[in-house]
Amino acid sequence: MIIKTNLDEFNEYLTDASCFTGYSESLYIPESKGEIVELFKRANSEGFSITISGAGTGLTGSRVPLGSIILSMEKFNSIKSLAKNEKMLEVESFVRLTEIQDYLEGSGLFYPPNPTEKLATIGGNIGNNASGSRTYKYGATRKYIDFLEIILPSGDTLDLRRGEIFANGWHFDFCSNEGNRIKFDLPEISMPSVKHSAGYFIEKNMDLIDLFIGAEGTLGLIVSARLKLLPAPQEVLGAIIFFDEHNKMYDFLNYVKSIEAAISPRLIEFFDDNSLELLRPAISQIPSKAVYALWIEVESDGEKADSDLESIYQVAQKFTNLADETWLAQSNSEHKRLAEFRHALPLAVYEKIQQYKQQKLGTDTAVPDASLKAYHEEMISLFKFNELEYVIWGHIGNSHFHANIITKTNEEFENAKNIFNKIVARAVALGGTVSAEHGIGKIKKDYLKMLYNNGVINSFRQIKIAFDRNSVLNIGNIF
Amino acid sequence: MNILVCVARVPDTATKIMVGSGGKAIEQNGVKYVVNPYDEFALEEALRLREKNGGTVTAVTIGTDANVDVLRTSLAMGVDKAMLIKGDEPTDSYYVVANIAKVAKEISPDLILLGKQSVDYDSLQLPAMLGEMLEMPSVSVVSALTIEGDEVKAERDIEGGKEQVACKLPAIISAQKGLNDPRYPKLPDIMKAKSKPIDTREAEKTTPKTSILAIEIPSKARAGKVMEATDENIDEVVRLLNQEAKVI
Repeated sequence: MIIKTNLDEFNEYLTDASCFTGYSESLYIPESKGEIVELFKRANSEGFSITISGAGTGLTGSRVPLGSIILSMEKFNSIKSLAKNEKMLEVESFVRLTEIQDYLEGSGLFYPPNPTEKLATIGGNIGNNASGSRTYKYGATRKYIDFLEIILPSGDTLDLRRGEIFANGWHFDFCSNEGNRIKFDLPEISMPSVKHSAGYFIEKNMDLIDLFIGAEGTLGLIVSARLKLLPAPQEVLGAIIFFDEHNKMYDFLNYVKSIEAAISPRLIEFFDDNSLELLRPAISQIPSKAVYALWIEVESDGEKADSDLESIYQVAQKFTNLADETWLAQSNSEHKRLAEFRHALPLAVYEKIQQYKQQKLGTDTAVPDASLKAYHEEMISLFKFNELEYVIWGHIGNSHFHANIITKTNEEFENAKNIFNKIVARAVALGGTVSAEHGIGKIKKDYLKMLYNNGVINSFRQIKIAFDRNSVLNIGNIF
Repeated sequence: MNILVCVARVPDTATKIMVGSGGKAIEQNGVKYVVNPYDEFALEEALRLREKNGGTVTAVTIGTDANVDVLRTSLAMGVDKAMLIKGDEPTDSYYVVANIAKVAKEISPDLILLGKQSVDYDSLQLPAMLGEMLEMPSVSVVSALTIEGDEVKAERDIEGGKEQVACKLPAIISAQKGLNDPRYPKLPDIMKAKSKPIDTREAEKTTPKTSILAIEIPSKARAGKVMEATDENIDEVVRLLNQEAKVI
């Protein structure tokens, strides 16, 4: 175990990509599972708490310590094995998404979840059931987790295969590897039927493994995981299509999401007029008449590629006057350029926020498909009426927006926060969620209360206590 | 202004490269090929110069029929003409230069643009050899370019700074990253490019000046040695640094 107590050596561990910053007196870097088990046991007997640290790419402060010691998993960074026939990959929790992607390159297999942030670790991704752009077709991280090696806050361990331990209705009763019994009740709720990552995953007769996915490290530490892979498509056609009108973009969206559509994208990402404006200085090729852009990806193969190109063009022509301006990517390097276009946006917003020394105000709401357009229009009019600078992008295929408000002064920030709360509340009222993918962490707890009443949140707390009687692990996340 | 752009077909930079069975070439199976990234800067610069001054941009490549795809990409970006010098897959720079020089003598371009290197064999020899063979000024690794009349002003990246170079047209310019941001290819242009004509001619065989003996994947960084923190080990660390690592 490497232990650092000189703050200068671990300053960066006190914050994450949300800019929320905490404090801690020591950083622990374990080199074996046994060291972590020992540390957890000591935490219980000596009464200290531990915050798990991944890559620090999270947006909710969940790795940020509030006085606890920091436990960085950075030594658990090896890809253990690839079982090609079973299409399974075993990895330790600090392996980064980009490493998984590089490792699988050329293998004919791929790991479908695709959060924008490629430096994130798989442990962090499992902790908040990360999703991202391809979730539209493939679903979130949860679907691709077959096995988890877990250390519970007590120091007990759990080897959890999907399909082995289920709830009996709304009740769990099982034993750790060491034979200690754990039992608790689940709140009888139904989660919003949209992309959702706020609070614990709860379902009648659910698989225990699903409780740990998206639990933000509050129930146990993930040491390693076995991931399910899929055969990689032979070819992917990526396109950025520009639109000259709000309504036409929605007509296009509804068409490509319908069964009879001539193209069936695996990814549909949205950029609003302010996003395009923010990117224009760096990318002069963005057409001046464009008010929106959609980035889509269509899976294809060598033989079909030409006719798929034709279809994309024909569909674009039907819904926008800017079809001739459509950008296309076929090779990996061209796809990377389109992804960079997407990734440049949050960075540009982050830079502005830093420049004004303000906190990030970004929604992570998703709403039912049928309410999307009205919800979007409501957001725009609220921002405009209150004269707020805003940028909206997001995973529109999943009816999931990231609306970012850029404030320049503290006074503006307070006003923006009220509007922000209204937007989040409106998503809940429409049957949506307060957080579709970023999780709750330490800075979005108020929003969880908009989604669930005290009774539900108390039941969540009882689940936490069933695993962590002495409040040892990742305190301050979710609750 | 008539511009000739030399375009190489190279493995996609995002592709995992493996050594082929003969040990003298890469394994081509499963590899996707793209326009050499530095040649994209050359293409973009040629198109911008044509947009400003008028004229014709011709893209030329040398190799097998497979090379047609990089010409299609060049046509999609907006070049006027595309030419394939059909022959063996080029591994010897002299063979490439001799054939390109022959085309250049025929079409007499005002400017020849190419990437500073192609990212497959990385010989970096083309711009200089071409200059010698055509008796033209050749300015390499250019990151900024202005042309007024027949006056060329180019800025080169050199170690720790920039160098300003002037010459007259006709000239050869090799492009460095930073010269421009290549445009995103547009869907309708990609579709139209599929049916545009490709001027194909046979390559002239030359006696190779170089040949590849073997290629190999670079070995990963050497693993470190962990030693116990004892006084006795200090001498051993010094010995290892001196005799094995040879750094002290």
